[in-house]
Amino acid sequence: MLGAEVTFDVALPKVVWGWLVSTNMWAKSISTGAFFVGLYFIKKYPDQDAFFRKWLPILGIIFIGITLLVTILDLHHEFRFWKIFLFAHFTSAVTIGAWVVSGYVLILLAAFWSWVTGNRRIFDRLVIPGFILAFFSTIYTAGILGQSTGREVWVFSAEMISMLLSATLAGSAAYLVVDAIYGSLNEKMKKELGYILFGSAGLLAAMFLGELVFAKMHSEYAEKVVEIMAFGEVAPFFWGGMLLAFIVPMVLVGIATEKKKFEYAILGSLSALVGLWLIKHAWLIAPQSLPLS
Amino acid sequence: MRLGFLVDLSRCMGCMACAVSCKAENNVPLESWRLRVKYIDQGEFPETKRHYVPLRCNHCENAPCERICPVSALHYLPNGIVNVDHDRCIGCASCMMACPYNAIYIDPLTNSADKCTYCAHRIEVGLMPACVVACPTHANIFGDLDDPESEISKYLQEHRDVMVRKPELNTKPKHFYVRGSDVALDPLASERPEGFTLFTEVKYLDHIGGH
Repeated sequence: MLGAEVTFDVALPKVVWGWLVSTNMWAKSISTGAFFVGLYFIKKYPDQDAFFRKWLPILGIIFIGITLLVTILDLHHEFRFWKIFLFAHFTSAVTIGAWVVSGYVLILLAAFWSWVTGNRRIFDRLVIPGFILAFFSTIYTAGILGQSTGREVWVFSAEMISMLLSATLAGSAAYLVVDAIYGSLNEKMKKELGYILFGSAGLLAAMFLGELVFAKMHSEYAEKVVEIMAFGEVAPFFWGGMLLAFIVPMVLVGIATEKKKFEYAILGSLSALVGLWLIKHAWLIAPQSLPLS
Repeated sequence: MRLGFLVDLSRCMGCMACAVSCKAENNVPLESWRLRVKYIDQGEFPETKRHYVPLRCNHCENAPCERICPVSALHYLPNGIVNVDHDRCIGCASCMMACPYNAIYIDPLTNSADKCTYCAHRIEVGLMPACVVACPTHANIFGDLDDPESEISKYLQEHRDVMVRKPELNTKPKHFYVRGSDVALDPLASERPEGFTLFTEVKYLDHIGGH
């Protein structure tokens, strides 16, 4: 007997989680990244932290707002989202995420109030719970992907690290863009933001390329997903993401920090933000392109 | 009580009576399926073989859909059935991502997740699932896995070639196949050419259940 072919089947849904979910992950990376990176600068440069005390809550609230908006829009019953609080099922990473993000939003609102009123102590008292909630807001999506049994490359322990690096990449890029518009950072801080972006991009690129090499050794399903991602219909998103999120920013930010030509860093940051969406979209779509039955 | 299903693939002749009766019994919309029968052709003429595989929810003991559902819309019944509460469902589609058997869909009319429930409403009043009643060859065998005298338990004891789909995922399905093969049960063991095949155009629905 030779090969086999499906000759009759019903039409099946292909991509169920689409661009709204990609946007959710992307916007959440910017929000929590702005928190992590902003907090680092506030702690390291307490005398020059005005820029971060202002933009941490603003960026955080805007992008977590986008995250929540697209999350609700993606529900088939948009007006039932409240049930996640009333009928919470805590084995689900979706539920845990909803609760954690709600707490994170409260912290951001308090941080915003702290900036508006100039009462620094409000934010200073919330640093530890804020960090914990931002941390879990970042990684709970890895939990959701991990619970998606059968979607091979999503079930991946390093997904957590990948999400944290996405956050530091997006957060540093967002601050560099904001600084380009409202510029008040000194050269040392710009350089440091550039290093964070450069390092995050390098490590993330290594993780994604590593997956291309190692995931396919895991199982036949994972190999197929990698094939779709690297050479199939998702390839333009994946390689476009690799180029724009990692390679272009590393080159431009590298030039910017070493040659002190910070206009390059803006281009690199914008490229990183666009590329991050592309690669997250590729990662989301590819495993859904595989027949499960 | 742990209700389970077993399909004797040597008896299935691909008549689709099970799929049609399921649709009629459960008012399943035209483009959705709780139970479907897949045809797989294997070999080259004259050495050819056709496999028929009825596919439905596996009612796993360790169900990923139940675990990921944020509002417990997917829940276990005391008899082991994984049931859906349509009014509770928020339509996040996490269950569709979690199910490794592609057994769940978003009903385009109700916008809620739906799937085979082993006809829980019929079982409640002592009736067999619609697909079991409709099958002309008694390929569908349904019963209590905890009762050693049930037909399904005896079938499982008497056959050495019992298979489940994707056992490596530890979902512990309560849906078994006998006289099956990897070609029949492994979705990657057969090609899925785009375009027209023998009977129909095998294609995907890009948009299902709204959006």
